[in-house]
Amino acid sequence: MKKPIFIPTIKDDDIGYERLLNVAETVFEDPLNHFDFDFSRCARLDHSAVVMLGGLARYVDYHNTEVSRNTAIYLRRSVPRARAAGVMFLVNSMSSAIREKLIGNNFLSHFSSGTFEGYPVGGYLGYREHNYLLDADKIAHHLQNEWLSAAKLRLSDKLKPAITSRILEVFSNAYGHGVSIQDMKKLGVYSCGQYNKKEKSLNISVLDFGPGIIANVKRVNDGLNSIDAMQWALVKGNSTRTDSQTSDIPRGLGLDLLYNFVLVNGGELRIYSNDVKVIFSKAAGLKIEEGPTEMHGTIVSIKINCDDRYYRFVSEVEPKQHQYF
Amino acid sequence: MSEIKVFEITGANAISMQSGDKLYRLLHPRLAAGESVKLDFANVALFASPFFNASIGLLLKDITIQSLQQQLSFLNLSEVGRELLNHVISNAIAFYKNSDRVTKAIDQSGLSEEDE
Repeated sequence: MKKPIFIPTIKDDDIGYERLLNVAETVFEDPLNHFDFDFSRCARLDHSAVVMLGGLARYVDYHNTEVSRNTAIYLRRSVPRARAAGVMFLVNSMSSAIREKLIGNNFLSHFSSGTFEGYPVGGYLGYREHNYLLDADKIAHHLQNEWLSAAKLRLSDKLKPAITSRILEVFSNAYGHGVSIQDMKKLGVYSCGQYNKKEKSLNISVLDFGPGIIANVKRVNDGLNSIDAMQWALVKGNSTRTDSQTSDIPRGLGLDLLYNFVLVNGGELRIYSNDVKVIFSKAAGLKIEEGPTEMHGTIVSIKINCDDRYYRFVSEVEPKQHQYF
Repeated sequence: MSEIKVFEITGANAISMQSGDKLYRLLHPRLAAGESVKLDFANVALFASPFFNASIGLLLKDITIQSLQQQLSFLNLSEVGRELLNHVISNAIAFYKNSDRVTKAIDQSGLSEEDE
């Protein structure tokens, strides 16, 4: 059955995430469907929406492929897909601004057989799908040489390695709490970046469909409610050790490093995982609340100010941090 | 005093637990034998916490921070790398202090290495 989903305007703000998670919920409820994503009511799509829509398309593909595979195993012969299922992005329903954006950030090249003019090559800020195995060097290369070298993004030599290092923490977290133990390893990790020229800010969202932070924390802390579980996850040194490495290695720094970086940079951090959302900015402080809907996995978004004036080392503002070396 | 060129282990990116583990295996026996070691980070440009957790952080399991400070020196480590290193060390000190409690909690949860 074809299920149309009207994609609303989705900005990188509270209402935007709420709308986005409502779209995701429709898909999560019954992924064994064909979805037509209609953009006729959409005037703007920010990076978080782009990464989620791409991820959802792969999520639907994955579930339908699994159904076909399992049916084939049961019947001991190959079978066509159980239903004509998948996601169709209705390009004709898009305004020219949306279409241009989804071409310019390379999103449509992943999903459309149409040959549009203007797909970026080489360094670009946009939508990317990452292999299900964490290839740290590959991701670092992406970030340093393609992503953060996009022509429109100007970063000083001082800020660039600091930003790359923190974005790598986001990926390490996604692979740690998500992909390494998710049932759906092939789904991997998705990212989308966006540069806001007016604000001189870099935005990135990283999405995975793993068990989620709350589910992982509850596995090792029986009895915690969801809000307490997220609070636990944000404490420096707390880790669920879900990264397949030996248990003796200290961990649990990723979220703390991000948090501190955002604090000194004046940026923003958002996390939606399972039934909890986290919003942190210097101005608004830290909010840990019940999420608008249940998120199957985790989406982490950070906004980074790209002006050197907003950059200081954590040690400069956190004198408690002892300098051992 | 011996010297280890970290670039030869990690390349330009000191990011992953796997490369951290390689460095740990080189470092630990030398430090445990009382040797002093210089770590040269020339040409290493990027850092992430999993690398330092698995290399330097893990050393603190059975070597004191005072011994590390006496035996280990860091050359050509960028400001970003040094900041991260100090974070990892303070986290590791706290981690091993609380290690028994955390390990017990995780063992009780039934999350074994095989589950991961």
